[in-house]
Amino acid sequence: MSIIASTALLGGIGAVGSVVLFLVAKKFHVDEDSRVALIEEELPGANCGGCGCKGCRDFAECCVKAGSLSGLYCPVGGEQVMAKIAGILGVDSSAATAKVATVKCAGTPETKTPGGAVYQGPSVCSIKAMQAGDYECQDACLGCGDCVRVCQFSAIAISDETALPVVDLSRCAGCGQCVVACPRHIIEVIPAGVRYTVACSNCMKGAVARKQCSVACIACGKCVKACPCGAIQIVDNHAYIDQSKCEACGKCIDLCPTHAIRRQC
Amino acid sequence: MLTMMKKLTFKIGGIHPPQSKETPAGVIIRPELPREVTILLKQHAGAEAVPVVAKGDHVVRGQKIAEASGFISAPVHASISGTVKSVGPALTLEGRYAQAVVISASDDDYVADMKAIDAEEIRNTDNISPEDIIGQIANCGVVGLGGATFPAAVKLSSAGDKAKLLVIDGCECEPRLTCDDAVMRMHADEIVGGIKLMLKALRINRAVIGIEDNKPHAIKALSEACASEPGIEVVALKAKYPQGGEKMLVYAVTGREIPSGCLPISVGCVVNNVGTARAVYRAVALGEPLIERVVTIEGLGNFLLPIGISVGEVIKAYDKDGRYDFDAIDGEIDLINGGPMMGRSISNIYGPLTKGVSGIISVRHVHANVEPCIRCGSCQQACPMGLQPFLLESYGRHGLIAEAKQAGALDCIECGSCSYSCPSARPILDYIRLCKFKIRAK
Repeated sequence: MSIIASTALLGGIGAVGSVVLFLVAKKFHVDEDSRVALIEEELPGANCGGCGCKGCRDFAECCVKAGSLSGLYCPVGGEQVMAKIAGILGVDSSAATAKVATVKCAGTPETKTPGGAVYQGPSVCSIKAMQAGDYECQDACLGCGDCVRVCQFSAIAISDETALPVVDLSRCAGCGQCVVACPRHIIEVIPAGVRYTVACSNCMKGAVARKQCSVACIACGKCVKACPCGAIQIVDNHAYIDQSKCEACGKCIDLCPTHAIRRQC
Repeated sequence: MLTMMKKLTFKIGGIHPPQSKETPAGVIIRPELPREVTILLKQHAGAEAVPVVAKGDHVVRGQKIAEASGFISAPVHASISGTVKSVGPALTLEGRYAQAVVISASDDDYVADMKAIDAEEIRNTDNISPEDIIGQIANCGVVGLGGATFPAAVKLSSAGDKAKLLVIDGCECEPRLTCDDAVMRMHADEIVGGIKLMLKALRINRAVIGIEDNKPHAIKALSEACASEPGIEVVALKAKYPQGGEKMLVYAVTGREIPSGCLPISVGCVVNNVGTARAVYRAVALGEPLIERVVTIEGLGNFLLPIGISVGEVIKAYDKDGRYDFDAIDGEIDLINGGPMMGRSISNIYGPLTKGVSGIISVRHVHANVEPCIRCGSCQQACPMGLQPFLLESYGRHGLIAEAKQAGALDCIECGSCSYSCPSARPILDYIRLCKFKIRAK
């Protein structure tokens, strides 16, 4: 008798519970795009953050939400994976391009004018940036390697010769961690491939900038006039190339009197 | 009697760095007036002053050249007569560019200035009203000369009726500097005059001058100067760094603790430096704006320098032994603006003097090996604010800004006791400064 009673009780609880669960599941049902799961399956699953998203699933959601692949790129999977994702979404895969970081400073110890004092604090850019630093230029690379420490792909290293960060283009994922870490805001993420950049961020007027560093952009405007696509502007007393407009013709590079424009390939 | 009593000091933390106060404080040297000065427009805490002169204008010594802008701000004045050469960016001592007015003097201007200095005239200040005192202090651009350069008039006027006690800081706890000592010894009367004016402005009648016991001459000079003033008392304090911090000083002389994030006025105190007291006297009684201050140049002496003078030129003129070899700056010697504990590296020694510079010292490079933190707690014992510096350092290193704020990073007074006491030579203060910088930037 007691066996029947307990079986009935447990069965009853189970039946009530299943009804509640069924109703709750109906009520709070989330409609998920089935493509997210499909894309996630294609992704490498490294959750490295190299794309700039929080992980592979977040990236898949971003792809589905955005509808096109412009600005989205999985550095680990490369073009093969991007082509597959494009197939799933039914969009053009040519919009998905690799991105890399570029350092907008070319001042070496030889070209920069020393400031007079030698910084003695900890070798950390963010702390050094609170003081004037070793050189007169207040927009130059500090050379303590905050960008190196945040890079998860070992794609950036401080050169012994120039004391500047050098980006290993084959490793750089364009994730933008270094852009956030740099206290002087001299790192920018640009599309990979043949590109032209102004390797200077000095905000002082031409004459002062020239005194501070021999390879500084002096905002003469020659490149602005020469650019056929109108991609170059003078911002904060230095030239800036808008990579979305630039067609990489290279007409600006030879005109630059201080050789501040550099070619990346 | 004084020596029998237990000397007052603050309660938690504190350190005893070597004093090395070797620069003679018994004499203040007045060098020849410079022919050119570069006067920065922001020499105080708060908003930058707005220039009221243009290139080519002729100005006389003491004339206002830039007007205060905003509630917390102070005007700046010409420290020599001459012609305005330019209004624009100039390189500061720290090696940054800042807006400045450059004044260049001719021979006639120089002679006129020398005459004006000789013909000082003391005004009668017996019947002056508190409002007029504060107005004159504001008009003369007087700022706190202890280092923070907070406009003195704002401090006095915002005290309202909450002030009960005026605390005058004559501690000069920073090693090597002797400029406050020199001012106390040489100009005790002017300091007491300034205190009386500030008491009048605050409508109170009690002031305490706190002086560390390693300055017996200063204690004697000020005790004599205020012997006939019943409301003003000189208190000898047990020497301990950082006693000159306003929170420490208020505790030492009154036993009251200032709550976290509050100013001394929350416990009824107004704290001012001795140099500020003297500047107040000169502003009100002589009508002289803050255009000169006493600066310790370590090893060379204490100098009364006009604001805007090139510090490097003064050193060049007086440095006979080659103590300050500017060519060796890159190698062995580093020059510091301020004292060894809280000072900042000088990047451009020919930069102009500002109201906040109390001393120029030279230190030898120390290449210490940074070792891991062993959680010994030395920094915690040294911290006069009762913080846990090792924790703040680690938050700063890992970018945990919210946690740092929670742990009281903003209460840090940046005295450097933690870095000084660390046996692993860790740059604790640098990381705490980074935390504070990031919290404020948010």
